[in-house]
Amino acid sequence: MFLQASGLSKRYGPFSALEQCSFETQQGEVLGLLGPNGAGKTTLLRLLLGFLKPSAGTATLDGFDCYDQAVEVHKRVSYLPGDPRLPRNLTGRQILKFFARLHPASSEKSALEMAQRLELDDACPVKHMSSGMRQKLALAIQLAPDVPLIVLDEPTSNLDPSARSVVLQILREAKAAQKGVLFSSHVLSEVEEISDRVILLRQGQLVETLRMVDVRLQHRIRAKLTGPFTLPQNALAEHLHIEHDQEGCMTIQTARPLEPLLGWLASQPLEELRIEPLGLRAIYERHHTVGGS
Amino acid sequence: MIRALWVQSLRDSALLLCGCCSLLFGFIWFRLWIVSQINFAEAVGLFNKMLPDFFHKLLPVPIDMIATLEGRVVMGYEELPVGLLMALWTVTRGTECLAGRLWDGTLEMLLAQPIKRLALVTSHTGVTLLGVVAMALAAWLGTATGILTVGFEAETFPRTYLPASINLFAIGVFMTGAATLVSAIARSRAQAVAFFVGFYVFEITLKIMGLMAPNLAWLKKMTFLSAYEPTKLTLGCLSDPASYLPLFWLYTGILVGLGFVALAISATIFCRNDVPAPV
Repeated sequence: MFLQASGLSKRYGPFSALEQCSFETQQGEVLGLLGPNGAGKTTLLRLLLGFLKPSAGTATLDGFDCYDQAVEVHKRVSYLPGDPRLPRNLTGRQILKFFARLHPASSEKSALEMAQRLELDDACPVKHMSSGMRQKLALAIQLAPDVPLIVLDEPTSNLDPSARSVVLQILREAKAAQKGVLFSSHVLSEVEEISDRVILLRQGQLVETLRMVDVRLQHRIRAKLTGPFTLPQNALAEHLHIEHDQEGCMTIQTARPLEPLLGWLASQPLEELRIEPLGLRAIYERHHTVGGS
Repeated sequence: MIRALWVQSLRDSALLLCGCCSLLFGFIWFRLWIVSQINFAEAVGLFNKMLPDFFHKLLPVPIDMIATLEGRVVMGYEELPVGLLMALWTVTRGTECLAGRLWDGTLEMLLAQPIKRLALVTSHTGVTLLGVVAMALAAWLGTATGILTVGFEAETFPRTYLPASINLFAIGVFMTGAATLVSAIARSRAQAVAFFVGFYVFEITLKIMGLMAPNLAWLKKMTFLSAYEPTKLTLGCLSDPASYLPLFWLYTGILVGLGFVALAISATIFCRNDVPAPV
């Protein structure tokens, strides 16, 4: 595995920011990181970057320990912090050139091309840039190096819709080039759009790891019954979760392909049939609604 | 990579350094011109009559020695603007090194690059120390230019004032180390500056108490300011080099040594501690 975290924990006195977090990812995979504020996403990313010393557990990237061999790790990683701040007295171009010189896998050419792709006015001093422009500048810095792993903490915050699309496209291209991507976001739709797997954090603990292939199979079917209803054959019924209410409405949840179900649905006395993908939101809310567990 | 850090650090500080060096050079030169306009023989008599006894205790050397040409020239290194300019440079740079970058949030982006934390500290501190050298040189050049351009009643040579300039360099190294150390401990630049100013005021208090009260003379040994004696060392090296040269090297060694120890401690703290998220 290219990136491997094993029992990674970070405690500040009695407060546990991250507890026993274990996961792995490989090159060519996009791994999404989900969780509400304070769930431990940024702590996890900062542990992987070696900014924090783990209270317990280890993390390795390409065989290098993320804390003890941080420089080797950084040669293989591009990291965009959640709140990237840059020297205010320099122009965008000066900053791009400076950071391109700092990273052996980057170059001025690739940084300027990335800035152009993100439609950034690099002649503008940072102090006069909007928060969105500063985010684009930080993205251009961190997406320019040709590294095997890209780690992004809320990369699309402050960005307009077209810039978001560009960023997601760049991440798709990175995946196609067999690079790994690990990113956190609060925008479920974009996590759903490009991730291969998603890990969910809650109160510093990894509560679920999902394959997006499985998530995409999950559907909710809602309909109104107009007559007597018959259960499907056993093999099919095993994978259905069916609920009725007193108004004659039926809700079915399935995590299997829809095709076998459609024939049975057609034979039932139903009207106002709605089939909708369950998506990440339902799973996210299952873990993170107020009072949820 | 490391070169890029050095170049950027030099660029960031060029304006401040040029300003400090120019002001230091100009102040010392201008002060020598003022000194050349005053009849010190009369002034010393007047001072001796008018000034209370305790004031004499605060002088670095007896007033008769200050009244000599060399004494009048070298007293420029004891003037407040000289100390303030050196403090401005060292404290601005020292506190920016860690707490400043942490406070403005730029540290995280820098540390995400494949550079050692130590390289980040050494490039910043290296430029600060080069600036300290430049400022000590500017002070000496101001003295030399003043001597060559202002008409004094007797001849004096710029090299006479090298001990004062080297002593100024040494206290600059110490202040760089102290400012960087508080920068490694503090969470914000404002906090770092406050720590440093508090420390400086405490040290001055110790020195004044040690000078004023004979039974508290031991307090002078507790403050780094006692090792900054440009007038005493310069006049001593001129009149009695056998006694004062070892003292000059001792004072210089203490200040430079403590400065480098403080730098080493701050680098150790920075390299071992967690990097907090931007405030």
